[in-house]
Amino acid sequence: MILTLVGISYGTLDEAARRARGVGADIVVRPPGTTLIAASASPMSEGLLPFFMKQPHVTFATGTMIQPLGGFDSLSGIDLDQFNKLSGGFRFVKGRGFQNDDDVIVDEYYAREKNLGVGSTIQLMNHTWRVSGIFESGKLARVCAKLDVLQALTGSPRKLSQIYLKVDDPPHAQSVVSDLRDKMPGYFIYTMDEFASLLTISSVGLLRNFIGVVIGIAVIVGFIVVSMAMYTAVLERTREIGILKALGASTGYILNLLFRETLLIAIIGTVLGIIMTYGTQWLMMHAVPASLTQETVYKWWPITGGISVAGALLGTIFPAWKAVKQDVIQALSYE
Amino acid sequence: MNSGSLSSGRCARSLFIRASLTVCAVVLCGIVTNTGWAQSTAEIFSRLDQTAGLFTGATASIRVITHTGIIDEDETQVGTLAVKRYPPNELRFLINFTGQDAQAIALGDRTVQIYYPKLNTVREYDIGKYRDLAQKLMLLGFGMPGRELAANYDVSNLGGERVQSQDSVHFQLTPRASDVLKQLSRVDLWISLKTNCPVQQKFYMPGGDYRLVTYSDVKVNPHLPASALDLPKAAKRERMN
Repeated sequence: MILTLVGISYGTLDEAARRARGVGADIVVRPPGTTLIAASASPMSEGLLPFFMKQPHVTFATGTMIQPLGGFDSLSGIDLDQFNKLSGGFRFVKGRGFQNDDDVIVDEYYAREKNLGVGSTIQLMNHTWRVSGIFESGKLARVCAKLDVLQALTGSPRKLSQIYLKVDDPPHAQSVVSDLRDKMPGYFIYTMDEFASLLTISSVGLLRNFIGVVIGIAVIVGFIVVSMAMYTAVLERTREIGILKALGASTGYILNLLFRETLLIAIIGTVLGIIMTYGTQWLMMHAVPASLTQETVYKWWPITGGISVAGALLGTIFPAWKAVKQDVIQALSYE
Repeated sequence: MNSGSLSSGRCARSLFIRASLTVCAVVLCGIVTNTGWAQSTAEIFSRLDQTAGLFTGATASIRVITHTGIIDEDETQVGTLAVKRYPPNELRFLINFTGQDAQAIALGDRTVQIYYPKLNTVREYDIGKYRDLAQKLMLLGFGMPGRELAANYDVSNLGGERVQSQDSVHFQLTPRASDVLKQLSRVDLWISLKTNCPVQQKFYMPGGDYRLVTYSDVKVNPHLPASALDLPKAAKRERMN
């Protein structure tokens, strides 16, 4: 359970970072944190684009509008020609770019999850869209519509959520960012590397807390289950333990026996858990490829192994103590 | 009485004491530095204290200019505003923007709802703990006692001005809360001497951008049915968080 949830957290963020890098930009500009006053998710003016184009080393600027669709999904408004110049263009698996105002293009995972083909219609934001193309995943978003259409539908003409900049030489990106931060305090301006580094577990406070809670629950549940299992095992072996004690087995010998058995169960459980994560990974890849992405997070293998072994050993202490304290005669007469 | 009400009682007392001390400090500073304006501030704040308790709602025409400082660009939205007070002290509002960027924004109980007429959709965002902040910022000056202004902002009186053909007093407010200061470096507020409600608010963002909100045809305490703040019932509703 821990490995699956950690894998989903890492996978979802890494996928978002991969798509952000796939845009092909060197710098991303996000609006100041004043959405509460502006009551808008797209508060930046398109008029900023010519301003950015005039900045030293900046060779290209384009903007997008992002409309959340609930859950992990969002609809991105793009100017396809401008975006192709920035990213090198979408690679279409089927179909092509926008033909009409109500067209959307979707990535292959979204198409697979929603069972969409070229020409299919889909209802998003209470509006009917037609799929004109399916593109290879890894660029910006899973669903894209025409920018001006999305702006008009949401009553936000000439408004943008994010602006992407390309510089003449990537090493210049940091100096351009510093310069822009001085000129535009309050705006969130990052190099793409900085931006991608923000999409990590340690940077997303909510996910960090979520994983903490999951691990806490898993440890408690694991502790209780192992404890109950070992308690039952000791009860079932009351006669066996009595015979061992009658034959002269020491307390250390019996404890050693129980702890070794616990250790073996914990290790087998960990290995089985690791194998099962490949199963959930396969299931998600085929059932909900656009919504959930699960990664194999190798560094968590020893951590979960440690949690499993520690929980199991702690859970064995009480039944083991009870077992060695048992009277030999009572143990032998136990049915 | 539970610990929560004890704590909120203590909080309210502490807030009241702080507000009173601040008002006294403002008045005393004024007496020392500029007797004329200090008296005006004290008088206006006292009048706001009195009228705030009687405030049940307001309607107005609204014009919002969003200024992007770095490119010196203004974008204008026009519409109407309806504000209604719900007991004990909760303000709800509905702003209807018209024209090319038509949309409606409603602040309700814990939520902000945005209605997109072209999509016939209402998108609902739970703003939870930020609701109070949204109410205090977006409705700054509506039914707000002077002591509350003094408690939350460092207030400077910039004197009398005529805005929207109305005599008003221009206050410069600097937020005291650091989390608000991160989003707003300053607010200018023009309070009408006739209605004791704002005729203009100017929100300055840290980067040189600002949002200028002008109110005209302000009607204070009109009869507002509960449905006055409703968004179209037939619209599709989507919960966003």
